[in-house]
Amino acid sequence: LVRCPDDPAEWGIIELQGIVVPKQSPTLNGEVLGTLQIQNKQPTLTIGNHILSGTTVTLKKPLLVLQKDSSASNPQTQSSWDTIAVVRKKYLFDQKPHHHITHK
Amino acid sequence: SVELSFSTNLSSPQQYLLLEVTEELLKGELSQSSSVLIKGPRNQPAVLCTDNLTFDLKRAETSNMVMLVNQPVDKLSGSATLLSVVPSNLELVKIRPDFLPLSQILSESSFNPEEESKLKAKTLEEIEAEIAGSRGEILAHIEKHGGFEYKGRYVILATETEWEILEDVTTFIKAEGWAFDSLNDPEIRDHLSETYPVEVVSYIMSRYILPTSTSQIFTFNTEKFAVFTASKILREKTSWVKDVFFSKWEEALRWVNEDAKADPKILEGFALSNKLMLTWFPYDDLPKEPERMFAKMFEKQKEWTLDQLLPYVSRCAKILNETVDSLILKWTASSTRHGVTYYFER
Repeated sequence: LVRCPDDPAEWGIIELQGIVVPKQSPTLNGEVLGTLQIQNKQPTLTIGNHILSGTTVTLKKPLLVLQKDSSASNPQTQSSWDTIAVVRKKYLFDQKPHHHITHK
Repeated sequence: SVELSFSTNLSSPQQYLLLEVTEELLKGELSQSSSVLIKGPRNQPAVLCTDNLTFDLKRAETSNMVMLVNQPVDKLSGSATLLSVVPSNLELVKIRPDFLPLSQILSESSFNPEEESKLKAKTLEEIEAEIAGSRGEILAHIEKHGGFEYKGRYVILATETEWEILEDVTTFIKAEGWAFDSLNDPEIRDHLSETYPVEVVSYIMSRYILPTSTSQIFTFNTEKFAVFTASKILREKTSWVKDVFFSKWEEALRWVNEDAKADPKILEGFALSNKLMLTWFPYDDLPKEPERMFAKMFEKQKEWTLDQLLPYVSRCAKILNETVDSLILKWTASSTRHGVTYYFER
């Protein structure tokens, strides 16, 4: 069962080409990814020494975000999902990162 | 600048689903439907069903890292939490449900009031659990194929029973001296109610006795009668010599209208016609995907003319929102002999 409200909240997506691997801890839980800056509507993401330039993409088709309802009355026979948001825009970082060099 | 951090409780990807939709669907069918279900009956791939539409679910994977944040990206400020990394999304492709299993269910739910104890029929919930399709489309298919609800279960009248009742109605009409386009609904209803259950009477009346623009005057549905008699006769044999079939059909039609002529156009979409023969071959019994649909058609007959293809391909094209030409081009090869183009399996 998928429940759809009339006017869901709007969320966003940050999309990177490649994957981010935690440096010290075993998982990404609670880890800082980096810093996002917007200049002239163009996003830039700094992750450690890497600087990624991105673009704002308006999705041709919006994405509904469904979250599983873990309190469903009979999870053996039916699962329920709530539509909690819709995504219409994302920041896409798909270009080769630059390296930020600091001189001591 | 905005500091982006992963949630301390970074959700399992399975807890979120991304479903690609259109704005039209979002503001229309999805928000107006009383229920939206993802279901996967036995041996069938999962589909998403609104009240009246059915969609295939196609998974689109990405190697990119897709991270959800709970604000629009252009409203981010200060700090923001990345709630989840979602490696794929589901795409919706509108489809016609596969009604072959439903045709099977209905054929096993054939109802004869004199043998009610032998009836094996299913409730709507039981049917929905077996059919990968929306409730609206299932009910429309049941109604189109002569199904109706009897004591909470869906049945179709046995062909011979429906024929018997139609003979009863038409004999009664003639005995009362009424014209078939000027009928008295309550009297016909009362007459049938003496013999048949109320659900059967309602089915027959709604199907064959139609209101007119003049209140209290009803007309016999000669078109439905023509379709019923044609399909009844066609199913009596594997195939018919055309002349013999049309003669028999016209004889049946003239029972209600002395000037009736058998119209071959009525047979489009449920009878395959070649030069000499006619065969029962309904579109609704064909698979819904074009590839399998064409395979079934070429299994039935190796070569098809355009006139033979059109009634089937046009129905498929309408559902898929494609053109007839594009489907024929994609799934058939052709050759021309003596000025006639024949289509066959690629």
